Amino acid sequence: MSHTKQTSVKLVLLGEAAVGKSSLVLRFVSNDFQENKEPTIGAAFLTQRCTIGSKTIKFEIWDTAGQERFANLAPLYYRNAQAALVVYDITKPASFIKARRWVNELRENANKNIIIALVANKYDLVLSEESGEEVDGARKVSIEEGQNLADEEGLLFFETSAKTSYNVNEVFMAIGEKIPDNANKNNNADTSVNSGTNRIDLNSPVDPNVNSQNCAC
Amino acid sequence: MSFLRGIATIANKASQIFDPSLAQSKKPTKDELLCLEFNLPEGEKIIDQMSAEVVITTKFTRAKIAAIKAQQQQQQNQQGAFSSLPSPALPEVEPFNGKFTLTSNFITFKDGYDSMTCSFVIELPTVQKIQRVHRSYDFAIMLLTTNDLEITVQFIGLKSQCERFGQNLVKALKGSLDEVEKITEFQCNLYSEYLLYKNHSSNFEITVPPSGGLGLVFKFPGNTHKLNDRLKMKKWFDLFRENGRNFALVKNVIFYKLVSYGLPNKLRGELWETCCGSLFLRYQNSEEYNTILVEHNGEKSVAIEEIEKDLNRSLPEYPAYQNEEGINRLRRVLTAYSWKNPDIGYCQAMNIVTAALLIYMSEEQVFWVLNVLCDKIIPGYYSKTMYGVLLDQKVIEGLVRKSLPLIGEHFEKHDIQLSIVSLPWFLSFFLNTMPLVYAFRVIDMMFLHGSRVLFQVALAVIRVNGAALLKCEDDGECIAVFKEYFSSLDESEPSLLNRDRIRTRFDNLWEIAFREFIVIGDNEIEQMRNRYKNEVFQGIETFVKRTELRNLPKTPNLTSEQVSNVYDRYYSVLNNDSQAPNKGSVTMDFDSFEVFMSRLVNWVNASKKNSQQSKFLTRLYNAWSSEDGVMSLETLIAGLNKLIDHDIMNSLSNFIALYDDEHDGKIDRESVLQLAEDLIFITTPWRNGSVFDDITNKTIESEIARKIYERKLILKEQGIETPDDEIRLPSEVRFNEDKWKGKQQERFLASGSNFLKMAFKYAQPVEDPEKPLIDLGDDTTDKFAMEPPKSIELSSRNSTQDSSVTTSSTSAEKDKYNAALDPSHPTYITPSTFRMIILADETYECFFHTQFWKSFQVDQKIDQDLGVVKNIRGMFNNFLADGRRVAIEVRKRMDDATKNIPDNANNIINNAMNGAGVNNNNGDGRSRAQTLSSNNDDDDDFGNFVTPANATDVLGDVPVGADFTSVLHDKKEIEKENELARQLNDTRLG
Repeated sequence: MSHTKQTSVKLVLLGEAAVGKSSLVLRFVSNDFQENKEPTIGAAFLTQRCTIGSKTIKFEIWDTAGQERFANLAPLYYRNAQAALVVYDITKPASFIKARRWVNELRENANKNIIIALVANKYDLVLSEESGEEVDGARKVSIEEGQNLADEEGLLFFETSAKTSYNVNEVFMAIGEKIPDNANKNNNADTSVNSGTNRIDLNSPVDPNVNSQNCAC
Repeated sequence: MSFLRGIATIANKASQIFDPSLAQSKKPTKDELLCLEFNLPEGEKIIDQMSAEVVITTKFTRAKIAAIKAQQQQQQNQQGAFSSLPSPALPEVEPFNGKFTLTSNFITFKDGYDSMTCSFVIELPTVQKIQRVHRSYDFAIMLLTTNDLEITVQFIGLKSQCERFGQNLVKALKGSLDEVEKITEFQCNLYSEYLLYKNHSSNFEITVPPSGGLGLVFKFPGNTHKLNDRLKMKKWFDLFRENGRNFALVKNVIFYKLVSYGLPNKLRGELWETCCGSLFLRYQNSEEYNTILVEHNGEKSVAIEEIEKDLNRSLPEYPAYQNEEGINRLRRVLTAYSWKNPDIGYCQAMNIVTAALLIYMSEEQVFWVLNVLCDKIIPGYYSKTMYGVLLDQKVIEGLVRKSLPLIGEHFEKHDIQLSIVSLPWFLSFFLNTMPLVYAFRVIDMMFLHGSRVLFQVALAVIRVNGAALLKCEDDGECIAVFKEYFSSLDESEPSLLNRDRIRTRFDNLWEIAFREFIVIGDNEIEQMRNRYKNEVFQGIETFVKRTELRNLPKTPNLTSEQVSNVYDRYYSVLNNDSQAPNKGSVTMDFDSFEVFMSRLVNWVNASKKNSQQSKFLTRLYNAWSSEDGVMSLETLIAGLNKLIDHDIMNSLSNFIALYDDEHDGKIDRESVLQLAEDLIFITTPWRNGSVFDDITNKTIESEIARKIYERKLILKEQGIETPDDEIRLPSEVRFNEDKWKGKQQERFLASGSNFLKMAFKYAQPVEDPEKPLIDLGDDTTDKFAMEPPKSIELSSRNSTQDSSVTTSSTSAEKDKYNAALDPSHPTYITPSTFRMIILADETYECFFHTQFWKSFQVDQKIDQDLGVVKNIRGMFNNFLADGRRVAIEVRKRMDDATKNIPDNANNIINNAMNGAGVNNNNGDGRSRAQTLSSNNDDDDDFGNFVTPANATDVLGDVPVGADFTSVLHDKKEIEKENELARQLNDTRLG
């Protein structure tokens, strides 16, 4: 650990109300879950340090309010952000439409090099409690739809569950990996990222422990 | 507060976003100011107002004074007259001087020197007795209220004025007699009365304890012991006895002090109502809350969806909200409010605020408090654009720069946006940042003093964390400082005033907020709001527009620029048009749509309504609305985009789809008749000749070219050698506008009648399943063009070659035509028949090819005038503004006659091409006209080469002299032409 460089990454969460933005952050930052989390008013701010390979990343997370009328505050928060999680609820098609809009808005107004991860949350809701397999009809947004949007727009894509912590750390790790080493929050210089190597294989088995070891939770 | 007031009256209307000038507060009336000053319900009218000196006593104060006096007497008796001991101060019954006002339902008074020392509001039905006090030197009355306040009012003014006031007062009191029973019943359900009854100090008999907040069942937050709840209760009990309560209450220094100490749990709800005035609203509208719930029972709305999402997420740690009872109360209040004020609907943060209020108040109490909050205390905070809270973030940033300049500079230097941090404080009154017990203290003060309390507390929070904040380098670090601070408010630290005393951090914060920042007054905040208002509205407007445009469906036929123009027009109609009844809405009703269309196209005129126009517009309106009949910008843009498809086949398909009511590809007879009429309607400007279509333009162009060409030949014959720069397009050309108008009118009329005939000729009977359908489907138009059914092919040739086909129809056709009209034989046409008929008609084909979609003036920005002038201009525009096309025509003719053209042909052509672009001056034009006039004696379709005196130059300059007016039709005509020339010049310069 003698050579770890610390990089600060400003990350913003966007998405419709009640898709689980704050819960994803709570899971990532405190490895905790609350069933009835109060809606975020304006925005919440949290930080978390992670070690990825030889670098230490300090995530400065802006968790925004999801209700439509708060949307005109969003630019305050994604201003200078280097990364964004655009979150939707896989049981709510409307939230997916909204996610698409957020991606457009970020593409139009945010930092040009912003790394965006599309996050399909509440994966736990489509799984049967007994079998652990997907229940027919529970899911309202297919994995393909999400993946297509991600491919079209060049986004990272994950299906997650803040409740079971499925894939949550992975999202942040993947973003951390894509963050160029020399980046810090005041440096928006054009640094191309080798996108090809960071594709996420959703079929690979997930072992949350591996990642949480890296994470200074 | 008058700015707030101004905003409140039109709060949350979208109009404000788009036109900040509307937000400019109209100067409030005297009545409004009084309502504001005393938190009276809106609409109270001042009946009479006078200066007066008042003395207030109750039987308790009198008893108290009597007791003290007796005690003094006793002491004196015991100690003798020369006692050295100071006698205890005699509590005095002080008189107060100020304005005494009678309104429709209230009496109000406020001390003129220091309003904190004495002010009161008394609801008339609580006045039990009025009595004239007989004094020889002035006019005084005594009022006695049901809660034992005895107020002696000595008016200061002319005797006649005093008499009049007295009469008015008696009259008003008589009028309020009916209310006595109602108000008594209402008072029996107030905790203040119950408290006094329990302690044998009430005139009422209250057997049932009043209903109240969830706290009565689920416990109030905080430790009652630590909060000194019992002591506070006792203090309020005393105050109620001596200064009245609820509907007849005198606010004095003690009252303000007691509020700032924090309200006792069981009285908190009622005192909030009393402080903010929602008590009066609840009393006056006692049925409304339940009525709203019943009326809207089972209805759905976006707001309700949003509310449902948050019900389980509102103070989830408070036991009542882990319980159906609490959740249901929350649901009912939020839902009822969303119906009461649909402009706000529901905004996140309201759930937290409402959940908090419900701990101390009944549902109905909270409902009315929410009304006062959103309308008066924090208008615009929860609105759809949240302009109020955004504006106040600007204000707090400004106040920090002013009052705490060091911190302000630091924030600026490090680009720290305080607003990011402070926004949640303002939106939820610190409920989600401070521990609940402390946030309720803030709310206590806010209901009494208004929104300035939020600023005072916020400034104090920043001030006490100053040292730590100066070390922060970004927003995140600041948030961490505040988080740490808020979680430690309970901790003890030395008092700021007396270092030896230990108090909580919160107590110190409180002291700073309301001592140091007492200087932050309503006026200052109001001024700051005015200063930042435009900036904030502008920002919101830009954002709202950008977002809405981004979220619109893709429009291949409209550029983003054009969509932006349509957006501006759409909202300008909704917001600014006084005729539009749904002002401020985001959806468009039919009347507004008509106005909108009249500004977009030249064939609609909203000020000249007629049935044909409204029939066609209704059709458009329905087609461009959503399935449930609502027209929004989104549906309108989508519809418009389809209709103005520049591809004629698509355009025709989309147009005929308007008439396919059943969506079965069959346009029935009724619709066909309608269609024919509509075609005549939408071609009105062309049919009456006020705008030329491309066919007319082409003919005119060709004529102009011919003239130029002929002129050149003539000049050549005369051997007049003209230097390059002197050869110009004819300068004195006039043309007979009416002639062209007439021709075009004929063409359009013929096409109109021809259309109907053709439509019925090729209509198919509904019952005839044998007959193969002509319709090949919408996508097969090309196929159709290649392989039309035989009969159709014939007819189309007929009509293109001879527009007067009317006369040549055979008797067989006539039979068919008549049969088609026979109501016993229903017939229909298909979309492809429609397309065929239009394409076969030169005029209509040309119309749909360009005129129709061009008539939608989507390129015009909102500030550009689309008035009548535009249409008159349009008449000449096409061919005059573009001299190039004429020049090309000339070149063609020259080329055709190459052999005869002399050597300087190229020059002529070049000059002809540039001619339209080179401006003559009048002198030149006239002298040239003179030299040329002798050679011209032409009188053709095109017009005359006129004599010098009449010279006008449609392509070059315009006649100015008086000589020329004679030949022109009238003054308007001249203006028209002047206008034209000016425009032409502009085009060239551009």
